[in-house]
Amino acid sequence: MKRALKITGISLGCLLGLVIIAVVIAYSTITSPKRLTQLVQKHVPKFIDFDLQLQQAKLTLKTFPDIGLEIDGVTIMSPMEGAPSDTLAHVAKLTVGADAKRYLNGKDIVVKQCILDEVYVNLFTNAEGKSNLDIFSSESSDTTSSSFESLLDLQEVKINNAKVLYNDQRSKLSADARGLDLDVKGTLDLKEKNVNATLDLGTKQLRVNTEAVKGDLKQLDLGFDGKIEGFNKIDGKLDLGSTDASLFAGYEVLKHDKINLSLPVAMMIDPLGGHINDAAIGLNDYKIALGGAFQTKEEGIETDLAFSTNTLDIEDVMGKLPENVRKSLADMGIKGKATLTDGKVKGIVSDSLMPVITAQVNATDAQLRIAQLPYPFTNANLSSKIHVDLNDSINVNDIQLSAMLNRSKIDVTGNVTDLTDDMAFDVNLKSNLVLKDLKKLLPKTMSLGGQGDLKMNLRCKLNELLGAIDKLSFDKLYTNATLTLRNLVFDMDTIHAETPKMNLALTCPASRKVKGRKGAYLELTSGTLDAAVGQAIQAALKDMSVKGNADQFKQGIEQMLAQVDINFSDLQFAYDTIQCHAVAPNISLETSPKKKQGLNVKAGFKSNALNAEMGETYKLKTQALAMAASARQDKSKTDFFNQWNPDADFTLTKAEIDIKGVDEKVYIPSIEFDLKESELLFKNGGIRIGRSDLNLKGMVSGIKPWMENHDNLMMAELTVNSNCLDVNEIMELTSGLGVKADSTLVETPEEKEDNPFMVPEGFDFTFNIHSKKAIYGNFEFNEVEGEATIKDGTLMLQEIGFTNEAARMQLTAMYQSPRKNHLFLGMDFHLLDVQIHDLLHMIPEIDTIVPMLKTFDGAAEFHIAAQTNLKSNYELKKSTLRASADIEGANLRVKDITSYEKITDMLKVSTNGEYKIDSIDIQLTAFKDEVDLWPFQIAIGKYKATVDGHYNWNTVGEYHISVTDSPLPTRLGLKISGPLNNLSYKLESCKYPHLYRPEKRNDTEQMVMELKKKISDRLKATVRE
Amino acid sequence: MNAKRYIYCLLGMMMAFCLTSCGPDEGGGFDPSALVGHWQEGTVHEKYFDNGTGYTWDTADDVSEEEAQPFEWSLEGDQLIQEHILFEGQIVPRILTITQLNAFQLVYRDTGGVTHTFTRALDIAP
Repeated sequence: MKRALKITGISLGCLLGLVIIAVVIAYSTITSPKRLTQLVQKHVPKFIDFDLQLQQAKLTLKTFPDIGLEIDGVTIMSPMEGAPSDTLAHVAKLTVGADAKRYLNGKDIVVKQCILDEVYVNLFTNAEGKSNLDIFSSESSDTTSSSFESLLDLQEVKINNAKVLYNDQRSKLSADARGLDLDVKGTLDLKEKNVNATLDLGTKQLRVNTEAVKGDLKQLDLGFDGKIEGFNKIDGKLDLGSTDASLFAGYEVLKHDKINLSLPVAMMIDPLGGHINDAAIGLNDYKIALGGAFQTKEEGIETDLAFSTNTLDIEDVMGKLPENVRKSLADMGIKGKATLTDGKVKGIVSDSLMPVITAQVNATDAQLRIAQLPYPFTNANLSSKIHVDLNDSINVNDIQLSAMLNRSKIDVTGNVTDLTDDMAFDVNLKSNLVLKDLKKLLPKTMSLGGQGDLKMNLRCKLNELLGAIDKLSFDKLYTNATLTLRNLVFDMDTIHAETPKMNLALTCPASRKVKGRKGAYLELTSGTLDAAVGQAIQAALKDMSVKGNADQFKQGIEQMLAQVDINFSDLQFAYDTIQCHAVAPNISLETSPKKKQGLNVKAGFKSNALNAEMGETYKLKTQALAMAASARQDKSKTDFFNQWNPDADFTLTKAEIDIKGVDEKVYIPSIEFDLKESELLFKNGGIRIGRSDLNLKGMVSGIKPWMENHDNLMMAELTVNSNCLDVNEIMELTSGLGVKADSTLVETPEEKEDNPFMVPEGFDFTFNIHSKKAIYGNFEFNEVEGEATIKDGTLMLQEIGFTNEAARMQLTAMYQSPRKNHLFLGMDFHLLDVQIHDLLHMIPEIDTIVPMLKTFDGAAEFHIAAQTNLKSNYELKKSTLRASADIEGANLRVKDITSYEKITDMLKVSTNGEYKIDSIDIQLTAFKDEVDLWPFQIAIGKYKATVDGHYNWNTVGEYHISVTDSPLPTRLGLKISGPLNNLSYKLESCKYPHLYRPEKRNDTEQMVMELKKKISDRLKATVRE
Repeated sequence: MNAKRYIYCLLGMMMAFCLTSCGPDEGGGFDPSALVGHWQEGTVHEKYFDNGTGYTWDTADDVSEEEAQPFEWSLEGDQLIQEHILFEGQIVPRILTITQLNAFQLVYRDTGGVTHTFTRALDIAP
């Protein structure tokens, strides 16, 4: 500035020197223009040492009453390499006016007017700093100026239509002004360096170019009215205006804008400082009122200014903000009107510092569009305080904003900080939300309906907020919110929920509520809520309370991170044919998404009381049910349960299962089992069915394949410990499981009435049974040990050992039900140390097969194997009956003494009054309805006899007794025939005199004995040691 | 059934008639091979195979051939032994006395003295 003033002073001094010379010559000679010109040319070198040319000088009356000299074609040459022209300056016509009165009185030439027409100025400085102005050496200038300081009393300087070029290659600054007019009126006191002037400067175009700035001002008017003292202290008013101003300073600050500046100023140039009073800055239609002070300090210029604006178009103003600011707001679009009042600019201005600008911002009827939001905020009315600290941040404080988000009304109070960097919010938000307005914020698979009253305190950064909105990830938000929802309808994937009212409290991040939790923490309560998962699952919930955190659910439920605890007072649940009612259940859920593998879920369920029904067949009541499950989502599956395939641990306490058609209920005091994919592991506990109690341990596998297709096999290896097993009840309970409904068999009406036990199909079950007592029919057995298997339609009791008061027993039995009217029953039964009357009591059918057995009593060993097919009503198919038995006894008592005495009498056998038989070893076989009593020997004292028989189930039989050993010489035979209740006795010849004398047997007798042994051996072969 | 099949059956029956005896052979026995085949007495069927096995079923009890019960058999003289085998390997032997065995008829007497008369059934594929 100082240098510019110096150069200006020197230039003016030189010009004035010329003027004075011209005037002196004029006044001295009053001669012709030619003469006058010669005089000027002659005297110029005395005052200046550079190349100055002029064409013609003449006197003029234009400056009357001052003496006027008019010089045409004044040119100052200053050739310099690189400069656009050798001409430094050219003035087409120079007119000066000198005070005639003072000249005439004291020979003083005092220049009062100076008028330059058609001026050309070419200022050039090369890269080394050498300027074409250097021709004005400081020594000559100083001399010249000192010579003329007292001769200047400029009252008017005019420049008309000047063209000024300025090119400074060192500072890379160029400028040019065209059509420049200058009118300066006042006084210039070079001695005191005072200027008292009124200045009007107008230029058609001023262009300025630097590396950083490009300016283009058209129709620029600059006016100054005031004084400058000592070329330093300015006191006046500066007016500046351009009708078309463009300025590029890294971005388009002005673009063909109209600018105005009215600057009353009282300031010092060095050091820079002063006051601005009631300044007005205009930009197009915008007005900024400005006032205050500024002062140079060591670190820069200290400002303390106040400003206010008229109504601004926000969108237009935003377009004029620095690019970095606009970039930071790229995701936002703002429209509307705003005013800035009570503005302040306070602080240091320097190369590295900028002052703090604060202002009250009021906006009305504005619209704010944020890219991440589906709808703009409209009808926005804002009151806030903006705080611009370009050294630090831009903040908006004391915000009071009301706006509409589509159909939702939103009121916001609070602060937004760091606008240009990482915008941060600390706001309170109230809203009457229409939930459908949130649709575009939600995952595509989620939709909401209903309305809500929202109160929210939000503390977060914009990136965090936008990230949270964009990704629905709430870990970095800091917010508290309460939301009351009415008529809520929620859909996400296959999940549907609706409730008339729901209260929701949200806290972000969740770690503020529960240490270590992620995402958003939610507390949710609802009086009633209906929910569904696809078509398969329906649920009705009462007094629901949900507490938990959730995060990352933008991609839907598959990627959701959640830890949720849910309580209800009442839950009703339906899946397919399963109906469930739980009292005060608790559900806990924890998810951990795996991008490729789908969602992992851990779930827990506890209920105080639970009732469940499966169709009309099964009903479950339990006082407590606990379930802990984990599942991994299999996206390749479509069905809900197949997709999740849970691994679940169940604990059932005091449960009761009612099965339709089964009289006895199943009670479960307590049982723990794990359900894992296709496996069911019974860990502990037991069940009671009627009189039976079962404690199960072991594994059931292949459940899922079997459920999907009953052609697949379900397998089990279970240990059953029991105090009591009622086989009848268990058979009734399990009858028909897995039997295909689409049997091709055509049933007769009679068969339809029958409901025989059908062995479950598709099962391979092995039960290792340990029961203290078992009940079958009317019998009780103790210490039952053995293996029961159900394998693909065959029920097998394998070498079950047990005892009762009558005998030690071992049973192997097989039951098959290939079709209802063709059942199969086979048994291999061993009674060891059995009393014959107990045997007949336990198995009355033996009396049918061996009717004579009831005539004896005593200890015996009994082995029987029998098999038959049965009709659907369990009636024997006689054609299929096969049985073989072996009975061995000793010291048997005879119960039918009358028949016994008759036989012994007829056979002349002496019993000595003892009614007993020393030993028997009987084999008998049954084929269809006929029984063969294979020849056997009995011993009665000294007598031995061989007995055989053949009879049918009508008890019509024929027996033969051959006395083979007797003290008497005769060997009699006795035939006993007819029905048992009316036998006839007839002596006949001895039929088996040699059967028990091997050396005398014939082939047939030998074969009979071999078959007897084979029958016996085969029967005893299966006795377990 | 077509005519050709009837003719084959008739020829077969004539050959069987010519080549089989009506009573025991000179040693008092019957040829076991003559027993092989399908015999029927009313609803009762018995089938004997040359490997000493066979099975029986009675359609009156709603039992089909597929559900028939197995036995092993042997023939010594006129003594036909059927050993019916139970599910755990036990046996139910029957000693039957054959009185007639030829291409068309099998007659035996069981231990109860009941005589059973079977005729050979022709298994002709449908």
